[in-house]
Amino acid sequence: MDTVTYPDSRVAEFVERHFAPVRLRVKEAKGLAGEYLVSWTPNVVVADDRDRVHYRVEGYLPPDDFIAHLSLGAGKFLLNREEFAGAADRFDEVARRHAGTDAGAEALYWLAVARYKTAHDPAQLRAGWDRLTRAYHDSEWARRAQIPSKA
Amino acid sequence: MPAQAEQIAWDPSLDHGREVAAREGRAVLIDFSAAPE
Repeated sequence: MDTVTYPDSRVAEFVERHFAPVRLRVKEAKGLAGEYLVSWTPNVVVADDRDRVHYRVEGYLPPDDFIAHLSLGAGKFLLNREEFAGAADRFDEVARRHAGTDAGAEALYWLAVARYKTAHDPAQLRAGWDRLTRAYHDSEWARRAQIPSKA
Repeated sequence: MPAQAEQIAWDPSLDHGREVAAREGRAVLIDFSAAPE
């Protein structure tokens, strides 16, 4: 991550704009690594000020993919805080900028959820998940959006 | 913008990172690293 991803100016700008970045060496912070269930590195955790984990990135990712997942993490953080409009903005940005990727599919899933939570309208959820299914019909996220009908 | 200004200013203290996050309404991004690469 220090060789390619973190030195990328887009990654640095995104991290500085959206997060309070903290770096811990696992050998020097074994207790915290245990508390955050870090059994492998690289391991990047999106947490709040009360140690609640909202998203996690495990393993190496190149800059574009890493930014997409950080943005999903920022969106999940906002969604869990019930800041639905802000969350929808993050997911919409990932869906547009990272269309065709796994992150893009995940973003459409959560975008539909954020809009549903905003409007309390099931039609928003169905429309969003229909969009996901059309664009990423073979993806796991499209399968997660399927609501089984009774036999 | 100079390249140096775009480096991530990692905080070595989780307690301080939490304080910043609470004050600014942000999430904490914790990078757990094995060792300097």
